[in-house]
Amino acid sequence: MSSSNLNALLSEGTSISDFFSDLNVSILQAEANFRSIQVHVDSLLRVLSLLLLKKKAALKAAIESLPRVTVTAEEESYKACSICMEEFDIGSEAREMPCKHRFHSGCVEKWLRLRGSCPLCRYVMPLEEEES
Amino acid sequence: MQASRARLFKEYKEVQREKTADPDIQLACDDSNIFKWTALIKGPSETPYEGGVFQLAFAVPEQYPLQPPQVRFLTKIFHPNVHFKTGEICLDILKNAWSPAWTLQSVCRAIIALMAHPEPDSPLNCDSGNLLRSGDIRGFQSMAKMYTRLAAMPKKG
Repeated sequence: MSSSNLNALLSEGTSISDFFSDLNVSILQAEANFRSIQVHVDSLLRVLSLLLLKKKAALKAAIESLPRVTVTAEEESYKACSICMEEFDIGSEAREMPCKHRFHSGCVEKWLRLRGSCPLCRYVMPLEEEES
Repeated sequence: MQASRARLFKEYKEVQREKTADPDIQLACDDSNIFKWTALIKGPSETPYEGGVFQLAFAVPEQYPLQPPQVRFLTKIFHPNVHFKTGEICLDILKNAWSPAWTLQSVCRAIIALMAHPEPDSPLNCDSGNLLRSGDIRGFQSMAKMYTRLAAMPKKG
């Protein structure tokens, strides 16, 4: 935020605490933006290990730590699990990958144990060391 | 029910429902075995395959959709990425780039795209690949067109 903005805010009678809470919000947003970019940079780096090091399966701990989310009626874009093609039941549990794509827990776990990438966008999860 | 069977049944219903959605693809499941499918695809326009109808055979593994289906051309085709004798197809999504979000229908679409955009640098048919790689586009097209006429067009009585 520039100093002219600061002056404008202050001259409009905005209290210092309002100003700092606004500033806080923008910092939080910037951090969130940075984190979402970071997520994809991490994925890109792991694409290299997928290609070069022949790693394939997602790290077990990373699979287990995928958040469990409840499917709500508003989520039109997530109507069906694209692994089994069954529609999600409203109120049922789905697993969300870091790229925000959702699948049935059982479906995505089976897939990630074979290959650690998102079926829809190929986002790459942290990978297991190749066992041979 | 087995996951692969349930998923194939979903695809079967989808194919029935959207029969007219993609006029270039006719997918059909074997009457007695849901793991065996065939498809008739139209050769894309402005390619040497235009006017031809090509038959594909699908063998779906038990682990589908975690594993890709095996697909091959039953109709003879002259294309750098299709084995001239066996009909085997070299296409990344049928191998290591497979994702369970692909369907038999979308695989057909990918094969039509491959027909229109051959990859001469990973040839299964070396003669065809070499023609393209040496820049003999006319030679490639006339060979491909001849085989389309011979194998993929109904015989005129």
